[in-house]
Amino acid sequence: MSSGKIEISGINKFYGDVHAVRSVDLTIEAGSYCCFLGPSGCGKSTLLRLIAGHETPDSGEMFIDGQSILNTPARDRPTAMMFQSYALFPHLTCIDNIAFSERMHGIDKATRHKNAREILEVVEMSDYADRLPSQLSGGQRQRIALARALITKPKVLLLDEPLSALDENLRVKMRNELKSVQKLFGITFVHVTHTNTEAIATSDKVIVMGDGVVDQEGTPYEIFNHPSSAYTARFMGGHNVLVSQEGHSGQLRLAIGEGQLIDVSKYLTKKQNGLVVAKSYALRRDLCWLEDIKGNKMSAGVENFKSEVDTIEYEGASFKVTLTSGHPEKIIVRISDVDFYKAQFSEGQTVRCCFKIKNLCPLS
Amino acid sequence: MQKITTKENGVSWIQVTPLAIILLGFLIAPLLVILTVSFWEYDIGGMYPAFSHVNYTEILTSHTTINLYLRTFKFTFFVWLITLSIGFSVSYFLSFCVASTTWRIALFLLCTIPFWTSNVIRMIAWIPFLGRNGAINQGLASMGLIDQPLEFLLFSEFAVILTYVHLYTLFMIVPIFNAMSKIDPDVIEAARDAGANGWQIVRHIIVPLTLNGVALGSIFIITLVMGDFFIVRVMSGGLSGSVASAMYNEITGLQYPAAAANAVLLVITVVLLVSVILRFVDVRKVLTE
Repeated sequence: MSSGKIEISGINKFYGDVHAVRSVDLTIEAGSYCCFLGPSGCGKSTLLRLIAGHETPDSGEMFIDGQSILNTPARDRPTAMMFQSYALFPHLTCIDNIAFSERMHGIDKATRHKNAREILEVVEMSDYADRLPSQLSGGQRQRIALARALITKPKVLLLDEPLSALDENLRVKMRNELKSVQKLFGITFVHVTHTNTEAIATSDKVIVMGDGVVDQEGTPYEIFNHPSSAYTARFMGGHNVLVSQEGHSGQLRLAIGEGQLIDVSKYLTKKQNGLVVAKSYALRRDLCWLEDIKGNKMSAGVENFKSEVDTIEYEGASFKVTLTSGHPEKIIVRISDVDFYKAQFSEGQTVRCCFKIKNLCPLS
Repeated sequence: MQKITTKENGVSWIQVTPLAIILLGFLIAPLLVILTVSFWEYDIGGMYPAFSHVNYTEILTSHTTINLYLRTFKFTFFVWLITLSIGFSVSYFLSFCVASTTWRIALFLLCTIPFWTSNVIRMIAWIPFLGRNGAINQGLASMGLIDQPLEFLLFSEFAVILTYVHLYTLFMIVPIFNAMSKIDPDVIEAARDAGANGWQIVRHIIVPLTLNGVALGSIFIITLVMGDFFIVRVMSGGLSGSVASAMYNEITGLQYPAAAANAVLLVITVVLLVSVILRFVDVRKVLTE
């Protein structure tokens, strides 16, 4: 039975006039990997520090495994924190960094070094036990920081942008390792990040935050495929946001550009693949496709509009084609390199952009 | 660490020349002169080039010298201890208790204000304060706490140490504050997160990380106090002395070779003390970090 269930209700935090965290309610299941995702300044790090006890909320309640932790100081909470800067003790060797917490609790040197060596083995750093942090690379420091946090046997491990100091390849490698360590120990991980791919790859649950509030929470699949707001859709990337205009007598039109509208009213009445009325819709960029302007036979449930290719960006496995249409931001279509080479689009070319109505995801 | 590489064209030699000239002309050369003179012989008539150990033998076999050294060590030790406690507490307060950077800098500058006036004025200012009929004695008497004025306040070892502490504390505050302000606040938080209480954080994190600053400050204090002859003379009313004040007496008595021998011994003593400190900490690290 795993432990480390976090319940947060009505948490508020002010810094002077700034309302950093606004009445946040959250439940994070025991033994799950949860990501707080949002741009810098959205309150995600503050929320993490509130759980750790390094900040005190102005109102609200927090529980871990049903026990209130609000009046427990940071050092006594069943949490451990891994800092963005890793915050290793620069004057202590790796093994002493890891053994620090047991030293503070008066455990003798032989025992704490034995325990530290066990954790060092888990993070594959046994050979570096006697090195100082300044003699380690970024990835190695991160492993030591992880080991130092794990040795306190926390129920909840809090990671503040743990991968942001690493280069891209190492980041991908380390996020897998974090995930496997989480499975191995079976404790709750709360991971703060501003990188959507990191959140999707690691977590069981993603919490998208913006401006101090939780915008959406759900599994990575739900968040990516069914964003509930334009904010989440834009932040997750990979989506076009199409704003709609509701005309009189039940008309619904999508704004493709200024003055350029597609009437989608007929889909509102359909039972299957029917469209729900919403102010705007998210449309995955990779589910749009481009066709030559001559071909105009459209299958059922497919809509299209004419546009011009603005820019083309090569991304390796795919091409990112930006169109001149789109309101307020330009519509982007992601095409696999195979399809792109077949069609040979060029900048300035007039094309037909197609999408399936069933792929429109209504946003609040 | 970067290695200094000497280029073929000799630019680095030109760069190093000014400092080399200053050190050679104002440090090495005078030291060599003093070393030479310390082996000379002298009498009332003058001094004569020789190679004699008589000056050293006289100093090393005299009780006065031993007493002077002991007293100088005593002054140094107490001044070091007191300035260290003040320096550490002030730096701790500035680094960890003052949240805003603006306030931290403002308060730090406040510490330096007394140092805008000359040492002599700051020293002399204590005399009317500590004297028989000085502010402290009058104040205590008017409160009825004492019948007789306290004699130990002025022209005593107390007054000497007080003045040293007043004059030199900043030399301890600056390096310690410098070291302490470089400690990453996340490191302190990580220690707290790992279960350390306030005292343990000081003992296991802050003290080890400020040790280099302490060493640098200690070198300042030791060299300043060991080399002083003026403060000890004025503030003790001539009742107490230091190694340097003995040298001063010898110079006024035109006993230059004896003074030179004394100076050589003092330099050796200070160099030994400083090298002991340097054995424990890497001061270069403080300056390059």
